[in-house]
Amino acid sequence: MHSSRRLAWILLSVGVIASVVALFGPAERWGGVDIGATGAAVFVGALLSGIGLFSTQAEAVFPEDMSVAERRAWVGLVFIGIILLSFVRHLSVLWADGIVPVSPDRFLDRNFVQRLFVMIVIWSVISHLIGRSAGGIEKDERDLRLRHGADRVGDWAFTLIVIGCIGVLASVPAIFLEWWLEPIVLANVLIGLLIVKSFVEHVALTIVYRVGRA
Amino acid sequence: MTQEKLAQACDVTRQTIIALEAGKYSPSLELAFRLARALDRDLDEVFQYEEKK
Repeated sequence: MHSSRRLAWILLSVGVIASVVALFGPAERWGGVDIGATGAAVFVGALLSGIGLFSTQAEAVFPEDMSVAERRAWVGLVFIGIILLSFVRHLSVLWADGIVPVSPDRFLDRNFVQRLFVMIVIWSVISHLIGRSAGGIEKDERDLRLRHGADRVGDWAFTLIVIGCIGVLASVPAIFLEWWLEPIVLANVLIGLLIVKSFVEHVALTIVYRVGRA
Repeated sequence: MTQEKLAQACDVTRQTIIALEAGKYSPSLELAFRLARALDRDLDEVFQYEEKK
């Protein structure tokens, strides 16, 4: 395996583990060390190292028979997966106090918004670096057709989740309904829908690309 | 002609040419004509239609 590819796998593994530790690690310190903050620092370090790697050796990171669009699909899957984990962590405030609905203000989490913004920016940068290093065609008719198919899968998932949400709203007691219809709660539901839709699309897209190369 | 040169001539990625050769992708009519032209062949010399049973 090319050394750049090996380094990319190491950074990916470190980044994913660090993000899980940062998001779900213990709140209390262990041996005087803030585990969550350490995980976050390692995660940022892995991200910045990843940008450095992709800006200099992007071509060597991926197999030669992988198109630019497929490379972007795999990178996108990693980032949307971490964003989804971040959203799950953000939602954990829901069950912090048991079944009693928490104040909608608890959903005004600047940390979550900042994490989301940073991830999207870095994702865009790496995506751009992948296209720039490859040169030539970035997306052709086959890529568009595969993308279209993946989007249809995402649409199905989106529809099913919306139907599920309607079912939940129709069945919750009236006392909870008012909470569900708070603007900030609705905004979070919509963001969650978009994140899950994008995740399902990326999973579908990477699967069809992988099967196509098999 | 290499896959890379054919891909460049037809404005597609090399991976699409690979998928075409492996029978894993059916090109659009426009791409089919571009491929035939790049190979300096008639369309039905490059592509054959097989009815699915």
